[in-house]
Amino acid sequence: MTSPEIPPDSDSTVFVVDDDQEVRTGLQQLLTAIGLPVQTFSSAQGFLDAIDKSRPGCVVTDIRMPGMTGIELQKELRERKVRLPVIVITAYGDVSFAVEAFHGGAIDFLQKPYRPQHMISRIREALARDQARRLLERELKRTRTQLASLTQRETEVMERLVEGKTTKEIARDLGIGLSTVDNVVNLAVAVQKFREAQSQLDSQ
Amino acid sequence: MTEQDALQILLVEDSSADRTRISRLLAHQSPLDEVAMATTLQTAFDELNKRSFDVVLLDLILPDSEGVETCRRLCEAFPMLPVVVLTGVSDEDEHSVAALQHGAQDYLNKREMNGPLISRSLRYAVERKRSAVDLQRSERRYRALVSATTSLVWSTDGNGCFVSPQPEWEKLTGQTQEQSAGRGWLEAFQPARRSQVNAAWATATSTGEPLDFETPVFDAATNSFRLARVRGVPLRTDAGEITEWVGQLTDIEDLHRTELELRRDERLRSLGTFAAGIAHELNNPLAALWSSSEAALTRATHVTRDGPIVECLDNVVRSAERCAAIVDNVLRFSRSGAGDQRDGNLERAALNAVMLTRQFTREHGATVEVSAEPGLPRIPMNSIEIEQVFVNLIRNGIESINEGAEIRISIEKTLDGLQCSVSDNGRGMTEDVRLHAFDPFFTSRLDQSGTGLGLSIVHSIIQSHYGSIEIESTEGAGTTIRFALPGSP
Repeated sequence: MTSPEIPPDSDSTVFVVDDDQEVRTGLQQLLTAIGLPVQTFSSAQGFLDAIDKSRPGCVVTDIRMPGMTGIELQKELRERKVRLPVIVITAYGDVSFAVEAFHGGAIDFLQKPYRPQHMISRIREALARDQARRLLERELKRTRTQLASLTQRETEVMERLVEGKTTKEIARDLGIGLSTVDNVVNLAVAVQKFREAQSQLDSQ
Repeated sequence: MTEQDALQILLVEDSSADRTRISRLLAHQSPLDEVAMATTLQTAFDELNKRSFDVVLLDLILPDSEGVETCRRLCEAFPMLPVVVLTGVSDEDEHSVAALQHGAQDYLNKREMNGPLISRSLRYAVERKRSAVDLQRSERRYRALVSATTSLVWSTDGNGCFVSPQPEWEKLTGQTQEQSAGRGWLEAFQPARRSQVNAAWATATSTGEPLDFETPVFDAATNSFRLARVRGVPLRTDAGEITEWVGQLTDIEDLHRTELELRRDERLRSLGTFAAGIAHELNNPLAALWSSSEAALTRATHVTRDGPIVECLDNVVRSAERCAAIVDNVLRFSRSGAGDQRDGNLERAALNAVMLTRQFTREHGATVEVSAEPGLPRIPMNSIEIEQVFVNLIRNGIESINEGAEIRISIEKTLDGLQCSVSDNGRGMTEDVRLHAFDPFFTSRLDQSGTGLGLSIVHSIIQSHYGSIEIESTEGAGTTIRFALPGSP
């Protein structure tokens, strides 16, 4: 569900995790040159300590690092329910690494030295993906609140909708205006969306 | 092999309940594995002929074959294929042991099966089969050499003259008895080496020390000089006078070549490891260099479209890109030959390579022809790597001449596998180029269009297949590269 047309939040940050200082600096210079905020970390633990779930962005992490590896970091992020898209980079590219990274939920696997323009476009995709997910989550939250605040009458409408009755029938049955029924229908559509979005998020 | 490697499994089982149970256990344990099914031995053979599998999970009791016979037939038809046998309830001991003797790698009792056990057993089977096959093939290569060595016995009088008929010598050199009589045998040695041979004899006859030297001697069967080791001891009277010399002449040409080949292979292997180490180390700084220079270029371009700084940075970025390409090539070279090997079709690999290079061939006005002896057996190989071998050899051949290259690929059976030659009608190689042709970064092309790794990659792939490779070339008359690959053990 990449939606590249959605511009990244202005505060979307690229979190770079790599033990090689020059590599960190290189990425920082590359991304700031095109106006993307960057924050770098020399270890996976350092990133985990600093992480704030509410901040939008994406992660670019090396695999082989002293202490926690990039693969372990992915696992830890999953356990903490941090859903930032992860791009894995490595200087020791081989197939088994790539397989492991994708198993861990990485959205991309790039071998060093990556082509700078290539890296930029992958990062933009990751940020768009994060952005789309955050929008979806906000919508979910709104629908959830609306569902929780249904009145007695609205609940009755909903039940009849589920039974498969038409809006006109429901309006007649309950002796209410068609517009009231329509409001509930709109909500039902939102609920449907909610379910779809939920399953989409779960599959990510 | 790591746990993550997905396997292509063929499950041969006629009971649908067992099929379902086993494939479920596998799907749960290692979801990346692909399981194909066969219900009879015949359909199993059909599947195996259609495509390659990593391992077979085989029930011994099938509608068209029963007991150990099932295992024996499968292992005979597909000697490279790892097999794990499924045993039922009552037949466990007797059948499982017999199955192992007939080539199965492992057995599983259907009653005690669980996901982790099946998955592990299949993976160990693949691993075990591979090491066994590797060992067998490398041993065979050298055994063949040792047994092929020929050697003959000769005798002379006290002064090194042939005085009696020397049938073995005559047969080897093609000299008649008259020609070799006396010191006539000297004619069978290379003219340039004759004084050396004379000197060795002079020392031996004057000191009475045993004779021992190596020099090329004419071989009538191949119409060429082959390296031989000549050894002899004096026979004396009671008074100590030397009356006779008897000795042996051993053809050591093959041994000598193998030794050179081994030394070359060893040298190239350590070069590959060394180069890969450096390449990996370069990846990080190169990533940094490329990113930072690109960033600088982006910022400089914001200020001014062109100008000296943009030009400088543009050159830095392009050079970084070139370094990256070189490093990538080195890593490709060091990784070549690491792929899995299964039974494959050499002619098919050649034809695929011809297809892959069609565009290149057309652009250079070249032609490529493939001929193969009918009924070639399948041999253990990594088809993608062998295709790469053909692609590299075809490209090399085409580039050996400006225009109108004619490349001929021919494949034929040998005693223990297949032999393939790729010939071109190009410039040919000087002796110096020929000797270094497999060295990484050695290129004879002055235009620098090549990476200098094409033949190195070919060499390391052939080597990983326990094959041998040699170059025959005449300056101005073209080059033939010949490689041999062993068949299934």
